[in-house]
Amino acid sequence: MTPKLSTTEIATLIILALASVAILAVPKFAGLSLQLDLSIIFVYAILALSMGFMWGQVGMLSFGQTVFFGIGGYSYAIFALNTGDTTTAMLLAILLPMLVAALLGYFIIYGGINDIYFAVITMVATIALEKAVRATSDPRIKIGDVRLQGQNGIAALPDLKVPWNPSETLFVTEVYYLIFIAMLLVTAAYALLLRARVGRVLVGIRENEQRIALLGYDPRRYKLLIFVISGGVAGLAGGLYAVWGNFVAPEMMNLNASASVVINVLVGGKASLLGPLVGTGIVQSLTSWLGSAGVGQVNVVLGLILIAAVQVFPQGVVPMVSAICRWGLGHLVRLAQPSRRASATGGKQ
Amino acid sequence: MTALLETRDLTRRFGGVTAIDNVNFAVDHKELRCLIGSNGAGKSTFFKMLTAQMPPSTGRIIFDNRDITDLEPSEIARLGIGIKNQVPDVLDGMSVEENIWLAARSRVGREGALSVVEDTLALLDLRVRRKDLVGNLAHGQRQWVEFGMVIALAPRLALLDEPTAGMTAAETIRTAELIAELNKTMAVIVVEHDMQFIRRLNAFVTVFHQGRVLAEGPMHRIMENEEVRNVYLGRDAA
Repeated sequence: MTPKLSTTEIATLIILALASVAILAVPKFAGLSLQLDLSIIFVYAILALSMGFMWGQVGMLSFGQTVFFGIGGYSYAIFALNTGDTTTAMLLAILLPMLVAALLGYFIIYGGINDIYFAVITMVATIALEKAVRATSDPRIKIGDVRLQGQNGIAALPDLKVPWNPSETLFVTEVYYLIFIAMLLVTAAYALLLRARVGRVLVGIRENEQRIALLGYDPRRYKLLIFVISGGVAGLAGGLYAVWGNFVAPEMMNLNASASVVINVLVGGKASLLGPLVGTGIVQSLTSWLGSAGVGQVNVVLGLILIAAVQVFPQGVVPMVSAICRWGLGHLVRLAQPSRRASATGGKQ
Repeated sequence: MTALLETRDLTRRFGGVTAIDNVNFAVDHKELRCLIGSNGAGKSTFFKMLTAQMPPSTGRIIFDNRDITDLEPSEIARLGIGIKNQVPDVLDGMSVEENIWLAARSRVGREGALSVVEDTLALLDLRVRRKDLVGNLAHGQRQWVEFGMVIALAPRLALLDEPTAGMTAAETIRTAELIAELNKTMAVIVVEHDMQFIRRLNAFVTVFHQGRVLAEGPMHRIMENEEVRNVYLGRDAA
């Protein structure tokens, strides 16, 4: 079924279009530091979307989505440093996490692990990999010519080069555009997926997995598919993170990082695609603002704000705002009804 | 011709309780069969095993000359067994048409699925509610939606667990007509409590009692069966 665009989808498109105009215009007015700040928000937004889609649409809570973020980042770092070929490095940043997601997902999903156990295992995966990478500070541990350097991470990563012209590298503003466009494309891809048969089956799995199976769809295949796709998206975010900061470190995968993905999604709301993007924007801006405002205990204050946020809008900011808009629009339409009818007949003549 | 569905010594134990006890049961192609029995006789457990929602403890299930005992629910659905569970088992957060579309789309292409959805909605008189979320419908209508999913799936064997529960008298009559309609193209097994309804269907009846097949035969013979009357129908039922 290819339904016509719903009001929500149209509203989402309008908001994204307006935001895009503003965001694309930023480099004309603002300096590099704002571009860098926004770039990293977009990176985290891609990561949040990869987690929020699975959670909100399919009902799979991947608490350790950062494991793929980390593998993506390290794939880029190691391959780019070894070969200097950043295009292939970025492709690997997507493909290797997908491969790992396929293996990990196969054992979890075909092993019949669901719900909270799924969350726990993915969380353990990211922590385990973080600890493993931390334990590589011995200078003899190398992949190719690149030392992993344990908790210090790998620095001085090469800038991204233009694929068809490797002598040219992308600088801050170009990377800013690239990351933003990647975020838009990922959002669009998820939106299209949601409208396709696969997407309807995935939503059906969230609603009633047993019924979907009794209709002849193997839920495990579909869950594995979305786990692999989202692993690739998280890996892309990891690769872009490495490009953004020319640096990767085990912190990409620690418990803080994986929890903050969940928090970003919670604050924005997991029911829509816009939710994880908006949530990331809010939480990340708040975090950096609290940091610069000299609050001191940033995490404590942030925690309090988050508790309040979850109490006030349990479904997230986006559903709450859209409910208010719908309510307001309803009133406006009712107020405007008589004049609108007059102008409609007038327009036809 | 061999039977469409056959169970061989099918048994299901829950701890010390044997819910289904060595049941040997067979249904022919395009047959209409009613399963009756008091609560706890094992009818729903039996259905759940036929659709792999629950594995049997021992015994085999043969569908169309193929052993399906160890298959997945989705594989069994693809082979052609559709089920309406006892409690409405639908996708509450999706619209009526999407529920039926998902059933249709699992077996036919894009165009075909749309026309199956139209036909099914028309058949069930659900066209005006097509955009409604199934979770917002009344109990009886959610039953219809699930019924519609089975219809859209076009199985070779439809299992209907208490299809008239929670329905009005008019809806019950309509359900009997629909079952007769379905039965033109597929075998149907119906679990029911409503004796009037079973008489209306005029089907061959199997009586379950404490996990065993107590009796089988046409309805009028079943009503005369002394043992059946004692354990199930009660003195004044006939």
